[in-house]
Amino acid sequence: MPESGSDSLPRWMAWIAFVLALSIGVAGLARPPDTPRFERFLDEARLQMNQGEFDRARKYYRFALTLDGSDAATKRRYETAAMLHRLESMAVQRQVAWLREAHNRTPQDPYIALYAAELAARTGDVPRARWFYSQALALEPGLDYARARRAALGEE
Amino acid sequence: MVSTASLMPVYLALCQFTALAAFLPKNPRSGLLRDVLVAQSVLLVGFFVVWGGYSTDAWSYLSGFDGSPLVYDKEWLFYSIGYVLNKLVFDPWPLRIISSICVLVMVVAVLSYFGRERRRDAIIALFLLAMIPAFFMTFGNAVRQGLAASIIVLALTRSLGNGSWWLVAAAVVAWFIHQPSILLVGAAFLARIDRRWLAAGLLLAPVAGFVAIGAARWAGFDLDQLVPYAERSEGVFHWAKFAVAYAAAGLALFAAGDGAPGDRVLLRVFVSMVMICACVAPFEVPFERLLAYAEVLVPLVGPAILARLGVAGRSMRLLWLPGLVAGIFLWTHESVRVTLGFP
Repeated sequence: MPESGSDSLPRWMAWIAFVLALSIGVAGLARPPDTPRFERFLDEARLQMNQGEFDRARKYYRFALTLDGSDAATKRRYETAAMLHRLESMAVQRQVAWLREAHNRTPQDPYIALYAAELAARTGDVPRARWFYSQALALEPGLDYARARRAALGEE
Repeated sequence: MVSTASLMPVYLALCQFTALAAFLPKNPRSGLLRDVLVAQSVLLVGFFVVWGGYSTDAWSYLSGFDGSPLVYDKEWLFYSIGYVLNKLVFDPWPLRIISSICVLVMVVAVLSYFGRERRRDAIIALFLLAMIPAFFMTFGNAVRQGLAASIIVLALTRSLGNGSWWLVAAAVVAWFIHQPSILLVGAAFLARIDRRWLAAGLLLAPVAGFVAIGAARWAGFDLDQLVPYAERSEGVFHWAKFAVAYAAAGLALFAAGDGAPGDRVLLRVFVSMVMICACVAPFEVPFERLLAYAEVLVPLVGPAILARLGVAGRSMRLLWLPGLVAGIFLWTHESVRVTLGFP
């Protein structure tokens, strides 16, 4: 049946609106990094790291990476958070073995050093804990939490 | 650079524009109506593919999908779906997919309920779907509730002609997704009572919450322990929402006296759900969370209410613009933007 004149214009209008909306959707999906949001995720991730919530931190880093996967620092921090989360779920003996191994190398990441310090403090290894807190502070001087914890352990 | 957040209202406005096309001709052919329905359905389902996944609570859901879903004894079904999606796709796609599934189920409910005979009503229903706060708050953020609600709504539309077994099956499924969904199922059964009793219940319901607060204070009982989130007061336009919902329930009760049998049942379910919500009206967050269960019925009952009010084709052309303005107010409102995770 031929298309009636009164229907063809609205039909075209609907299809044009549909195609325009689809284009906007595709543009939204392939958008460049949304910087304020990216920063917000990083801030939240840092906060979670400082609170020892590694699983949450990992997720926020992952969120940030979905916005900008090219950011190498974020990628590294995400791997740290993931590693710490894995470590956290290990049995105590394996954690202690990891700690001994970690002490042989100078930590490259403040949060790994901080975690190692916490682990050492938990297992009563005060000298090692103090050393790891110092390493964490050397890598990230703004880690007031590590400073406070080291002070709480007392001087050598 | 145009932000993703500012593209969102343009996308939704274009989606609503497709609906207008169906009301421009006096007697539109079914081909036009079918095309408009296809366009609306694709755009609505696709909405959360683009703007979903970063909502306020996205974090807690996505982290919940990581571990075994069986630790969530009450909501294991929802987390099982998320767990499987988490294995297949990377964040935040599991959440985007679930949000889109919620909308898809709603769209299927609308299309199957109105069928080929009432395509114009289906277009109005999909127009209304993008206009309810629950679309963004529930399908976009509180997705557990969104999924449970959409499943029950679909079952409601299927149960109208085939007895209640669809509804019972949906109630069981929804229970393992979001337990308060049982209240919507309760509303469906409550809707069977006489319309006069329903009216009386609706009138008394807002008083119930205040009476309960007074009685609890008198008895020295802490009501916050009984009503989850009772102490929280971050509701947005709380009393305004109550007033609109209450007025809509009144109109629905009026409209339920006439029209198609299916419409009459759904209108009563809507009234019953608003009645249940009104019982907790003094508590901001519980009220708003429960109201979302009534809101998801708006697309289905909206066309019947409009028809009862005499709003047919010509009036719909006049109502489209105010509707769009109201939509733009909603889509650009801070509560929607923040809920969906925009800065």
